[in-house]
Amino acid sequence: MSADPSPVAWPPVSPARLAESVAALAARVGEPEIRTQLHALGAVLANLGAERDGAGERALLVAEIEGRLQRGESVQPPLLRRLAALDRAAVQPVDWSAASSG
Amino acid sequence: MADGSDRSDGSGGWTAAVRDAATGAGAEDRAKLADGLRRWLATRGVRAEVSVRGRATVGLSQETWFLDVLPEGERERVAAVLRLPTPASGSGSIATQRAALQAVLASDVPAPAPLWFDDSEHNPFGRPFVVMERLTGEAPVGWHELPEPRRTALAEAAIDALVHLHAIDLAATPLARARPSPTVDLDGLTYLFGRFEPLPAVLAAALVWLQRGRPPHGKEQVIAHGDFRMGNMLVDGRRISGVLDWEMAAPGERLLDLCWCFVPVFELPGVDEQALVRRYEQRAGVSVDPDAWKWHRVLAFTRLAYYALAGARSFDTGRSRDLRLAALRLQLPVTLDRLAATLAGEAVE
Repeated sequence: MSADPSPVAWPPVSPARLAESVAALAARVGEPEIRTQLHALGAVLANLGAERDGAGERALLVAEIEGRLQRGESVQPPLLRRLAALDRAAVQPVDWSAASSG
Repeated sequence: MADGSDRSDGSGGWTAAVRDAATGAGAEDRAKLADGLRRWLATRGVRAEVSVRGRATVGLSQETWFLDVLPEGERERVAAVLRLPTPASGSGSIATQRAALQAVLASDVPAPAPLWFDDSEHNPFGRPFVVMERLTGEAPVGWHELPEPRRTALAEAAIDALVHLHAIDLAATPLARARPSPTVDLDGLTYLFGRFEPLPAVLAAALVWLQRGRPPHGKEQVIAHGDFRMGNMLVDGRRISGVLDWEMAAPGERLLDLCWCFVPVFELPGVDEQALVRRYEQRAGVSVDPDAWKWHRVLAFTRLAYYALAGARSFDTGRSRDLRLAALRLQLPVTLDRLAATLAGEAVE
């Protein structure tokens, strides 16, 4: 979470901390269906807000790609690769085995 | 798989586990189902004891119940699975499953035999249903969960099952007139993506690439499973004991199934895909064109992207409270990165 010097009404909670706590909670739950839901929730919490990481560079790449598409020009794969890699770098991987089978 | 209609089920991507319901509500549900099936069987001249063990959990679409049926005069109980549609899955999925299971029954494709079914709503459940034999085995979520050398052995077994499936004379089966899911072809996906515009830029570019490079429509149509992958298979040691979840079965091209089989839904499968494709070519007596393969692989990633967007939309609109669908959006950047790598001719990670 980026540091924001503006006064706040209460201390902000860390999504990463929330995710850790939910994962610990999942480990204590016996019901597989509930465990999978908690693992999924933990993954969502761990990635809260991260969809905006790299916003500046993303905007430039998206604009270039969309511009080419609108003009009917081909979009070279390396350009797509750059944007896709930027987006992927923002996400913390999900443990899908845990989120699907508990 | 999860899509806008919450189509994913306990054996279609999520490991099934029987919920040992101890609550009154669960016991009541089981008793009602058992009584309903018993009465229906009686109208067919089958007198039998029916006991419902429980429900496969973590399913998002169809209801899957485990049960035992003891026909009068028999000594051995029949271990069976009852499948019922939900509003999300639609009643047509049951008829498709039933037709597919009948189509493969006499073949070498390992699949549960259909035992009883009703395509109508005029039964105690008020909706179509199919009862099939219950097979033994476990249902890994993906290839990556399997250790070697078991993984390779099962991958080869999957190829062999696919060869057998595609060898069945489609015209001689009830599936000949089945309509493919819109999620398995470009036109259908393009239409479905309309409700998610503006699309992610990589996805929009991929759709243009797919349209421009569409291979000539294959004249040969086979029975395509439609969702042929580990996650929809029961395995027993190094053997595939059953291919499950036939609700997307329909006429289609070979590459639909062959490409989908090892596409990384979540984790990389960790198999020698080229060797497996060669195995398919040799055993099916066909040749896989590299350009067509690449096109179908990009299409497969596009399909995965649709599932991610649809799952997220289903959660965001309140149609589902399943947190797995909320998390599915996190797979979108992974899928699109793999798609972009495929377009670039680079290794998929």
